[in-house]
Amino acid sequence: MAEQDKILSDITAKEYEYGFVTDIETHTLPKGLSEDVVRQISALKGEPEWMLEYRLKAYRKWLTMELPQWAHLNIPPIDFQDIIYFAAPKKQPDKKSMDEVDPKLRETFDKLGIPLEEQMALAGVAVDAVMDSVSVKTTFRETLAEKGIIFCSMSEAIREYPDLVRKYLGSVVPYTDNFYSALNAAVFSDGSFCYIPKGVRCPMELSTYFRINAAGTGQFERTLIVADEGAYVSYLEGCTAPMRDENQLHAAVVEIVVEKDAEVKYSTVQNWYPGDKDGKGGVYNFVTKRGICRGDNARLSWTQVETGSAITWKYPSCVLLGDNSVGEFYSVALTNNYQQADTGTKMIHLGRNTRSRIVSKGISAGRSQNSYRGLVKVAAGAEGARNFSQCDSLLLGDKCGAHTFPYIDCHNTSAVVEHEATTSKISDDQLFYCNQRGIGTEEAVGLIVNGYAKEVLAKLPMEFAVEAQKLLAISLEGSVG
Amino acid sequence: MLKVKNLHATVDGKEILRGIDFEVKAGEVHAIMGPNGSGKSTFASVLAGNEKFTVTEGTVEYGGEDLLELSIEERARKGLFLGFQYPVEIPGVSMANFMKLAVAERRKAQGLEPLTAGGMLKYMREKAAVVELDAKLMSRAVNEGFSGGEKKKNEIFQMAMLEPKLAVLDETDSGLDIDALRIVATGVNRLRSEQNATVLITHYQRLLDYIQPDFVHVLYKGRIIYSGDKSLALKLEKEGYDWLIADYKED
Amino acid sequence: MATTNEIKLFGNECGCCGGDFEVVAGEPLTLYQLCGAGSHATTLRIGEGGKAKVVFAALEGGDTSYTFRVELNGAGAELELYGLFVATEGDRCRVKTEVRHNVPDCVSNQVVKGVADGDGYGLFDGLVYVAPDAQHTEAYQQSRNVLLAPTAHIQTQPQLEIYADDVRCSHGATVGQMNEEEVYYMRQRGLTKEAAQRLQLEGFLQEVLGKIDDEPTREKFTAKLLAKI
Repeated sequence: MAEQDKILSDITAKEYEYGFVTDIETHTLPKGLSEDVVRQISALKGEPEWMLEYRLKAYRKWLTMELPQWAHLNIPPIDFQDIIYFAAPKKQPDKKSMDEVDPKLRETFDKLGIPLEEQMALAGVAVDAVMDSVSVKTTFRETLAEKGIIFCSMSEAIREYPDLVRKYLGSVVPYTDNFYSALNAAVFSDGSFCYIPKGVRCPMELSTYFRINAAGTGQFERTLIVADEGAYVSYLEGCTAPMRDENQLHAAVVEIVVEKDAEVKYSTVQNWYPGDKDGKGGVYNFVTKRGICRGDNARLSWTQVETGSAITWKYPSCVLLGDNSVGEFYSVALTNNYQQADTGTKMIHLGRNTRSRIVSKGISAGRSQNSYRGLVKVAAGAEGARNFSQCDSLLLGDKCGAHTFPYIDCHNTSAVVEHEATTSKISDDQLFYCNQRGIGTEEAVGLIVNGYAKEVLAKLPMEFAVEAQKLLAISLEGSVG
Repeated sequence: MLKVKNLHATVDGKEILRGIDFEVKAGEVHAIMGPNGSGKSTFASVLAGNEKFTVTEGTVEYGGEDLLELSIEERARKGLFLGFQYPVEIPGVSMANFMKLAVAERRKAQGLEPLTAGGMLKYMREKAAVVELDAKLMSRAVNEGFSGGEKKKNEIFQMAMLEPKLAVLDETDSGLDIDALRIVATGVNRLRSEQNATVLITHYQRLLDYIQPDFVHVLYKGRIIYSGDKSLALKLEKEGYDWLIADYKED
Repeated sequence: MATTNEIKLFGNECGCCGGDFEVVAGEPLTLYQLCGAGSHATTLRIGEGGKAKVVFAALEGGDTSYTFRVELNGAGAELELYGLFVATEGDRCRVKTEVRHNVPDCVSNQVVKGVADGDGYGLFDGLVYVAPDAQHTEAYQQSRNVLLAPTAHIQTQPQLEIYADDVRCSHGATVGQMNEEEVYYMRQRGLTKEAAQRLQLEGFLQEVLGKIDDEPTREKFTAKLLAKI
């Protein structure tokens, strides 16, 4: 055990790998939120009147709303007037190639190991990189444009494709949905917009890397993905944030619309700064993600690997409206030190023969608290609906907590809903066995955890799966003892 | 006893039976053979009244009555027994209780007095012995945790208990070792009489070594395409179905 | 040989139900509880080496709410909790269990089966809590439910809240309906559809009723169940 303790202390002493700050001049509004700030954000972004109206309605609604308190989380009070709601890198002329991009920014991306340049062409990934709040560069636009695929920043979409944005924005996550979705609708800075036209199969993985950069900046992205009839897209979201001492609020909204016969896969690897080993700092990640399978035979799949953030509050959900539509949720959530996560999903079965599958793998280490919370609701009209949920928890150490809160609400006699959950630890026998075969404890834990999470990791696109495995190992190093 | 004329049936809108003509008289044993997917099990299910299948055309007369007008249980009470290919497990429902109810219904339909508790027990022991079924299984839930062989023996045991007029045995031989096969066959042979009839649905001629059929039929793509005596089974075993179905390849 | 305290609470007869029980080593408690009308709570505190078995049935109907709170307070304490509820037309039945493993080396096992028919509503809200340092806990929880009618409604919320790592805990929940294949099989053997479904339902609840060792009590429970369905 002494050796394990040593490893633990070695690793937890390790600095956050991505914790550097890019030194770029930013255009920043003063701290605080008011109707005036909302108007300024809209004006700075050159938005049309309808968008400002939407933001203002959301802001007024937000004023009347309460913070959600039901999660198994201990959230310190947040002063919403002490947050900067808009920060953008200055000077944003349109850029045609990478050469025009600020070298400092490119350096940042290089440090993160994002293959934004030529490597990306080889990797077949188009990246809409978000540095703080404004889109910096979008690649592969031409290739995508040929197929009629729109992949751009949300600001651009509001300008260029107002009809599409007005049709879908807020249609899945209305600003009235919850406290943070209202806040997001009022102040969202930017994000990604993606539209795949009828019958088009997107030829590459679409990817967005977000970074929270400027000190004390809340980041409020807004993502909207629409797959029209028979379309297919796989979308990757990856996040790394630099180290900060004060907590940073992040309240994104992701909306996905899947029409008849279409399919969307949304994958996330989230490794924002989790705070230091004493629980100081770290990102507050309060995200609303929801998709709707609007048409028959639509499919929506969420895959997430969550290793970061001090506090995570996140429930990527599927509304299964179309007959025979399918919703999936695959999750690995790892918490260490003082991290807290309350994450899971909602599967709302409305259409006939709708199916959903939930696989959640929680891993708790250190003094962290890790909760799965999931709702499976079957409406009276959802004849033949099926759900299966498997929610496992792995505990590493005796100071952490693992919790499982499934809610099943069934109104239909022909539906079958099944939930199973287990809680376990890595057994001494397993470690002994590995040790005896010459595998170090550290490595053995990595092996076992990766094996435990395998079913979910296998759902990630290849490039992501590798990164995710590394992240799990890094986040866990030394947590056995 | 059973007259099937031009029987058509569908499942989920797909036609499986496409005009079956088939007749069984008391005292006869018929074997229905045919390649996989030819509709053998569907035919058995339709005779039993499985609600998954829709009869779209044709008639079935059983003991002078329109069989298709009867509910599943009415058919059963009038002596139509289906030995299931995959007998379902019914957790929590004991064999003893289940058989007690089933036998009472059958006897009522036959105009017989219900058995006393003691009489029932004796009757069960007697019939269980016929198929060498472990009496311990009586206290267990229906088919739950039974081995493959036990499930099949249990079907023949129930057949013995219910004394059917017409027994349709759907692949009762599949998955049985030689011993179990012999036991099942013995059970069937013992129950054979001039008053009742048996339809064996099978894949292999193996079972027919033990139970001598009077007629052998070949079912293919939802129709009986050939009928003969027991020598047909041997020929099929040796030569397969190709020589028969070549003419039917086209639809 | 320890003598088992067998306590029978037939709330539907005496109007009283629920209560507080202390369970100590050497005096295992068996509690058979036929829940009465309205709402009531039953609390068990199980000390070191204490063993308790609870079998309850919520069949009274109307608007009912029952809570079973069990504290496992001493090493070696064991709990078995088996229950069933049936909510038919007009019923709203809520069953809440809370099993708290406060110390190491305790075992709990819960099986609660629910049936909703007509426009009945049934809720199972079960929590297993494992305190920090309550190592070597074994805790199992199963919620199995069946909906019989289009307007019936079942909610189930089995919850695990675990603060110790060397534990074996699992839970499962299902909501479904009776297997039609089984009904078909029984009808093929001559049972009416109604009889087959009834038998099947009894079979489903048998897992709970079978835990009643005392014959007259089991008959009482079964009679009440049959009258309800």
